[in-house]
Amino acid sequence: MDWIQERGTYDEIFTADGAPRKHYARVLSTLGQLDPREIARRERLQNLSLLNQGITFAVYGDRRGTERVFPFDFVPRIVPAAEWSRLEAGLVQRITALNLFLKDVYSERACLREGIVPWELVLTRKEYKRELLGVLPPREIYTHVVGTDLIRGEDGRYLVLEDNCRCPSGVSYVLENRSLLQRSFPELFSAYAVRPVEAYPSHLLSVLRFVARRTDVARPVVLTPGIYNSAYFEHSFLAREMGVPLVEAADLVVDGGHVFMRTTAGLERVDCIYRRIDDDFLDPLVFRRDSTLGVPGLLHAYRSGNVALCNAPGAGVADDKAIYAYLPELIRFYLGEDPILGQVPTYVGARPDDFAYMIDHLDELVVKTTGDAGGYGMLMGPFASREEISAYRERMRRNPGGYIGQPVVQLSAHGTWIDQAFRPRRIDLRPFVLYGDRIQVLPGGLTRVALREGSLVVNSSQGGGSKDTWVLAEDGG
Amino acid sequence: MLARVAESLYWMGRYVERAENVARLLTVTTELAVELEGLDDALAQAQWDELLAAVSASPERALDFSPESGLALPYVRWLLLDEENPMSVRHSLARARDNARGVREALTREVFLDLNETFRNLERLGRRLPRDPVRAANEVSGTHRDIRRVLGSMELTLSRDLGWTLLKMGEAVERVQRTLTVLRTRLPTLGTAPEESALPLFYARWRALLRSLASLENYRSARGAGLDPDLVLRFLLFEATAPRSVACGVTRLVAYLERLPRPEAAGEARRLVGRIDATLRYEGEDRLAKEGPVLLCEQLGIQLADVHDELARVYFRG
Repeated sequence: MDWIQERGTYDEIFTADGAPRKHYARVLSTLGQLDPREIARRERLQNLSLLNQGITFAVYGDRRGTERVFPFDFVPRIVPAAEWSRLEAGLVQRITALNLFLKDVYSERACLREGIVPWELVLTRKEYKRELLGVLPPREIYTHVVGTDLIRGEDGRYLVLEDNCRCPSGVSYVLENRSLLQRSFPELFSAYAVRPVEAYPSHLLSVLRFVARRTDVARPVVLTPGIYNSAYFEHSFLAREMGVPLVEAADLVVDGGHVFMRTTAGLERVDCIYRRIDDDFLDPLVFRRDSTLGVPGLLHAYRSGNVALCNAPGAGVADDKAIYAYLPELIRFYLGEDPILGQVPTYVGARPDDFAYMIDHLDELVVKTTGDAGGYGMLMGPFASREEISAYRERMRRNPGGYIGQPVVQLSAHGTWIDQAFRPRRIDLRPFVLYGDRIQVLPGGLTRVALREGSLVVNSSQGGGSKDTWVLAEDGG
Repeated sequence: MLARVAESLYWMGRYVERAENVARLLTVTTELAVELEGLDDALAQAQWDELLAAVSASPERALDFSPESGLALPYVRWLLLDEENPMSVRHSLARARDNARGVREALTREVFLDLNETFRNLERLGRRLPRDPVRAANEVSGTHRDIRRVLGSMELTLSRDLGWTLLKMGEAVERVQRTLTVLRTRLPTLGTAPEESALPLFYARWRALLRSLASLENYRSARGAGLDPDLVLRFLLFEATAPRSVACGVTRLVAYLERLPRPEAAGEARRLVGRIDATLRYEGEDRLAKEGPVLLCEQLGIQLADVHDELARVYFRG
């Protein structure tokens, strides 16, 4: 069977001279022995299994609330042990710094006083919750769960694309992809020592217990916006795997500064909430008054230290696109270390020189608005028309600080089974990091793949799929 | 357990049971109508009308009888697949699945998987129900088998905790209500034994009544092969060993109520169920003689509805 190789960018499977990289050799030979009809049969079974298990996401804007399967590609992405240990160290360093930054901006604000980060980049953001100034979360942890998006540049170096410090999703697919691949292509695993991922829910549960005040009898819950949320499957999956209740806002009530849930046996105290709803919807008394997803009084209970919220409210200010540009400096400032992981060069509109450069080079840059997520309000310079660029330039002049710019970074390519052949498609990687009594990185993470030829967009809402991600236990021969 | 989860599990139990009941009634009625057609067309038609009454699903618009569809197909479409019919199997399974989706963490993977697959099979069937009546009837049996598989997964995999108790309570309430409604709607036209020539049809209909409540074999093994209307009626009302008798369902409810938390708050629910239980145990014959079976079934149904309301008040509002 054919393996088509990528020329213009880093190919995960093949070296530039066309030979397979050592850690892929055995996967290639195993797949080479399979008949395309047999592959088609196994793919059908995979798809059916996903649908029947309800491993689906809802598509917003679809009136009928259609559930779709997140496409899965069976060619695993393999990360050698040595490569992973460097990534892991880099992620631990980064999450440590992000957490120190959050503690700082909500207490002493040293990084602002010393000019490491311009104060307006922090204090004017809607993600900065001044209501929480001086409120330290339990055990001083803000970012219990972080999903960091990584890509690989043309030279194969891993670069951080963004940090997700609010409610990163996708970890359920990491676990489900593994179990799906083990069932449908068991022979792939026989020649590799792949580090398991299934302990994630129990680690998450330990984190939730660690930050609860009554650690001995702590009762954590998962808070979901409900079955129509696009990530509902994951909320329910994690609650089930951890063996804790999955609650909606209406199930919770605050009384006397404590949070309770309504049960068949009356009200029961809740100690820790792994919340999968945004800050703004948490508590209609403090944030958005029109929120029906929230629990009135929840922030009061949090401030009183009676309930832990994971991640802590206000943590969103750390994953802002403008703060990202300052992360290398912040790592040096808090930890006195050089950053282990590189990141994409970023021009910040709030710096006059950067802004002037951006305005002159819009046709080469990807420009994003800060504070927004999900690819809205973005300009892809190289692909935009002259009219689009000049209209965008005018918008930027009205609010320079609201924009950042980055050069277009090619993602690495990975062989993916499409139309009877293994074709290169662009991928990224979102590892998941837990912060409790220590920082733990789930070995692997979610590899997303842009299924359309030439596309750099891996989002599930725009034609992306995913792969199982293997971290090898050892790099033997 | 969360009050919302408790309510969802209870309703999931009711909806799966309802889907099972309607699928079974549909199969039995299809076969009976085939048997009657030709012998007595009006009686065959009447079976379908009674079925609609027994599941409270009379359509607001006339069903579409095209010449080639035969008698059964429009009813099968209406009761199995119609999305606007709140009593159709499809509707019940969709509701059961919605409830399950909201409480997946309280269920096992097998239960959700089987329920989801059953629903998805039915969705597919909605797009291509065979026009041939025999093949359509096979599809009804297939759906019925799928539903029994869901019930089997519940039995095999669910922990016997509060969630299971609530699921089973929903099932028991639904089942007893269905038995009462079927009796109430069928008994008036079943009547007493007619003259010799009409006897085969008469027995065919009593046999169908037992089959529609999954009780034909059970009746035979307990009472012998002879179909005596009085015995059949008493069997379906009072026989403790018959899984679809009213008495069996009420006995289950009494036991389930014992397991619910906060017994002090559930006093009224226990009193209401206890009263139905006492009627069946000690006053059944008297009430049958005084009121007749139809009125008795109606009154028991009303009392059971009060039990449901009381459960909801105590356990589902939080």
